[in-house]
Amino acid sequence: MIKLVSGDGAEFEVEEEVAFQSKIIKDIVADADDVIPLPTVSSKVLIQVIEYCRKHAAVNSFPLSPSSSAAAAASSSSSISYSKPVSDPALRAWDNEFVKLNNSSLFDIVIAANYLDIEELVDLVLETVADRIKGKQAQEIRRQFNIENDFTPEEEEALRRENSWAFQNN
Amino acid sequence: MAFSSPVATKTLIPNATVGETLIPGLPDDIAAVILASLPYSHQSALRATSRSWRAFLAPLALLPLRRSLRLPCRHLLALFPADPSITPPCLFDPAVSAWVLLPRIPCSYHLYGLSNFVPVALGHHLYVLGGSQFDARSYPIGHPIASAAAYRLDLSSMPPLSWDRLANMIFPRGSFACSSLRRSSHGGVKDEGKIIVAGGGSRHSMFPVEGSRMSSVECYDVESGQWSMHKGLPRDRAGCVGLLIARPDSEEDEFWVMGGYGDYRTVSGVVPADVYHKDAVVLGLKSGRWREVEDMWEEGDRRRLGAVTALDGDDGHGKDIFMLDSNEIFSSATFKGFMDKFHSRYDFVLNRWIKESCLRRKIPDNGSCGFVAMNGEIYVLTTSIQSFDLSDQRRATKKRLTIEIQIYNPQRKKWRFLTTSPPFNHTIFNNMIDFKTAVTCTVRV
Repeated sequence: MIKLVSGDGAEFEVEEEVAFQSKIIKDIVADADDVIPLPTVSSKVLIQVIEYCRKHAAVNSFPLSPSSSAAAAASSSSSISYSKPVSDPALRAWDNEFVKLNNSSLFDIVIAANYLDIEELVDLVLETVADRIKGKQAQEIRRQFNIENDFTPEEEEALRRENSWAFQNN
Repeated sequence: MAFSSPVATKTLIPNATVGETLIPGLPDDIAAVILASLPYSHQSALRATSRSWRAFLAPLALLPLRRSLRLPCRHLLALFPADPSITPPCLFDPAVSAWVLLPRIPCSYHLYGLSNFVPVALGHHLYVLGGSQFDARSYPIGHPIASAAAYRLDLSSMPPLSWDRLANMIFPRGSFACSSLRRSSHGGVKDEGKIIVAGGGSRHSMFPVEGSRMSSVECYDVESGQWSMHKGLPRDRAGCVGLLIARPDSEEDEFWVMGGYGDYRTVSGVVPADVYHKDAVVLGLKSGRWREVEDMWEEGDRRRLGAVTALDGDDGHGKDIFMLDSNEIFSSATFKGFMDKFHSRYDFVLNRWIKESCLRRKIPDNGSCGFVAMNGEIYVLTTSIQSFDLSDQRRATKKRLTIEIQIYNPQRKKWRFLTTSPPFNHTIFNNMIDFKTAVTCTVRV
């Protein structure tokens, strides 16, 4: 068992294969004791990240090395394929449920996942946020992501006129 | 979509965005990966979100970032349905079925009916070179002559886009082999490099048996803006195709010139007929020497080379070549490729086209199609006119041009289908795109 300590001092005991979904933790454990302080991660976010890791550790029951080689293979073939490599459909469905969160929660998770180097979780969240941007009007995006409109009305009108791409729903 | 680790992007974010957050609550390096991954055709609308987004999504800043993040390369299709001074060319983003019209090429009062011109992209610059056209001032009237004109459109410049006239080619020519030669795979910002044109002639699509043929080769240097002569082809060759190929077992990149016609022969002593080349000639880009490749098929296999396209590798250089050969005698379209040739030494020695797959929807004998490789897949484009009822009451029907695309993935050996209608006023293309005369090229963004 490995003990993770969140920024607000809460301790979480997790199995090795769950914690090793994070490459950073795996590297730390290799040369240190089994209590790992994560000062930048709040316990709320850490609970969610552990939930994700537990689920994925259970599915990829071979811990780390096969899954990371699979990820490497996926990224090398990504120049060809446009979609994420199809993993277990049940896991995919679980992932889709997992990311049904508001933007700020997702942002906290992706920051933690990036810090812990959990590649699959980073990809999952980035893809989710990208999907929330795709096909939206600028106004809608500003509202959704709390972005300030710093254009003058004239500039905005000019930019709107520049966009001549026409989309078609098949 | 597999993102590479965003940690590495910190140093790559354009200076313009420093101090202004792209997405509040998210570090800029992570937000940058998200924005860079969005489809090209969405980006122009997203630029209206905020100043930091506009700066970040500027093509000049974004394209190098996409390359360094190793995001998958994306192709857009540039489609020229007819004479580009009359019918505007357009871009198609296959990832999201989006279309945009490009400006027309400046037209001249005397010249009309341009055909057999060659479009080619170098980075985000689109070139239109040469062709065959009519000149109202020439005698005899109605006789097509070759054009030496060269035009360039910068897709990354601020709208409205416009075509620039470049220096003329030394020799006017149409239907020639052409390729852009980027200086390096990661490329400079300014799209430095060269464009090579080889062979060609003055044949016009309205007179499919007439016209000259030539062997000269010339190169356009982007930096100097000048054309210069290069060692010519071993024989006259027009109607040929040019491909930039990087083979793993070859020391240098190669410019392949395939197919086309050279000599005349007469049928019954009177009717002129083309003698089609079965072979290819290959220019080593380092050595500067032409090498001849023997006949690529046996006598009787086919009369002439079909439509040919090359699948890009990650560096933008062709790796696999595919040919679509619609066989008139057997009235079936057969899809062949000699991709295996480049994967194995033995097959390369064979120098033969190997059957890869068959079109799922056959193209009729007299039909024509577009054939182009994009995003790791092979696209076969055909058009149809769909009539649909506007409303039940009025029973009015409206005709709409529809492009049907059969897409083959050579890695998975699978087909998929896509139907798209260019969402433009139907009068723009006259409800018609004839792939016998329409030309296409791809643009990497």
